[in-house]
Amino acid sequence: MIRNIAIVGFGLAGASAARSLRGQGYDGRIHLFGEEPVLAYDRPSLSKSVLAGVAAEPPPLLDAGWYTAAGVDVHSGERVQQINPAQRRLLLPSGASLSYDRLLLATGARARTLSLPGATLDGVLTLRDQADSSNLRGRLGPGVSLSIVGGGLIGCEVATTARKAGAEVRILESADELLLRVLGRRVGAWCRERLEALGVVVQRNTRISAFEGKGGRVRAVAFADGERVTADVVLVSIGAEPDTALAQDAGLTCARGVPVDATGLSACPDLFVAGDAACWPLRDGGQRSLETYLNSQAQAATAAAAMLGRAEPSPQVPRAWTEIAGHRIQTIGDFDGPGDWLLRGDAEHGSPLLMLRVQSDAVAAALSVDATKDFATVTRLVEARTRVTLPELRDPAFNLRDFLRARPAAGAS
Amino acid sequence: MAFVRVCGRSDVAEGEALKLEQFPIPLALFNVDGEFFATQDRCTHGEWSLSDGYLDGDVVECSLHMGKFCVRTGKVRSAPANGALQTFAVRVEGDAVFVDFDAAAVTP
Repeated sequence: MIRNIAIVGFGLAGASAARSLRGQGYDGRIHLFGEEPVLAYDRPSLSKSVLAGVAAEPPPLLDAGWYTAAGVDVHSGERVQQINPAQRRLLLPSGASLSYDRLLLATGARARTLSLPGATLDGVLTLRDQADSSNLRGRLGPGVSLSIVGGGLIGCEVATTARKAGAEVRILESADELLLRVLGRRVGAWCRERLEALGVVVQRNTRISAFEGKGGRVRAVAFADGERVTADVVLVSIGAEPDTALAQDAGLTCARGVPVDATGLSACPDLFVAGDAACWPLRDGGQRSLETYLNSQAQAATAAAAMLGRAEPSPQVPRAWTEIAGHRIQTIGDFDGPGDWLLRGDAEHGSPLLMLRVQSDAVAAALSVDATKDFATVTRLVEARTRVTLPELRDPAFNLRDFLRARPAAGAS
Repeated sequence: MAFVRVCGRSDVAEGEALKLEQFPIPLALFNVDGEFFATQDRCTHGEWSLSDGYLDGDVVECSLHMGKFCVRTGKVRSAPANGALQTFAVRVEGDAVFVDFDAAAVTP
């Protein structure tokens, strides 16, 4: 009989798991531990509306009243010190311990940092939580020079927002194009051009050697070739590392996330992991930490069910969205992979655009730029592995929605 | 209490939606297998138009962040959406569809 479930980590995965547990009729105790002193909130807004000051605070994922009504014991601002899977106990900061029947680790990921001279200067920031976003927002404004190290999703989102706030924005990217890993070269280059049109300076192939400061505050970024640019603020946005400290201390082998099966179960019985901290199996092979909103949400629901003995394996198809230079970009599946890419839409202007990776008469991955409605249809083709051919998809008159309706789930799998 | 003609029945195909812009806030009119429902058009989660969403039965999925709502009741069916939609009374007479904006009291 499961009467005590502990959830460590109070972000999207933790909150979603709590909601799923109650949604599935579990009426035992739920202890929800989070390091931040607030209730779970919408993290994507930290680089967008909250950073822009349009919203004072990120929207809560669930209203405060929900936790009370659902009888969830919320421990905000309490960092769990240790987990002991053999005895099924947590060690709390107070020194007290807590027994559980099932444990979900939903500790998320931490911003990766650079170990360079000057990396600890005031004004060298990362962006991961609400405090980070407030800190950055307080420093932005007209004329402030912001150097963003890393031209990935967060870097490009912040560049958009900071530029709109009047800052002088520079993106420093070590690769020869922005967004290569997530969006590929074509859309990466297109986004760069859109950002440049907003007035963002993009420097590629950069090798940063140090951050230079005066009076403890950052003043410039120095490059290996001896060049330097002035910077009042530096944002280091070079990716995230799954936070697996508790699992590792407990003896679990981790590799960019805690390896779990497709129900979220780790190598320890009764210990589940969901969200960015989980190295979760993918539908199309392999496993990794996905670091996306929708996948975290799905993993949390799956792990919650599995904790209650209702295991329904859910290998993931990566799904992400971003907003760059005023454009809505959405992806499903991995950009890198076998098959042929084809383009639908306005390829000349780059928007609206739908890119599809077609393999073995099915859409394996898709990327949309401002084509949200078609993308909604395509995600269903990808998920159902609906059989569809390249010539069909190449035909501009071929209506994806009508096709899907006429042949629901006519796919493999 | 005023029902206003917004379109003909055939202007919205089954499984589709129409954005209505003649009211103080934009509404979305959904055709669920021949039944019509009206809700606020703006998603309660992000700044996006639900008439641009994907309608599956009586559930619309916002095409921006994939939150889901029941268009019959306005209730949230899937996160990231958190707040319910306002819904509006709809009447079909003959070939015409009418919406009552003022009686926005149909909130679930």
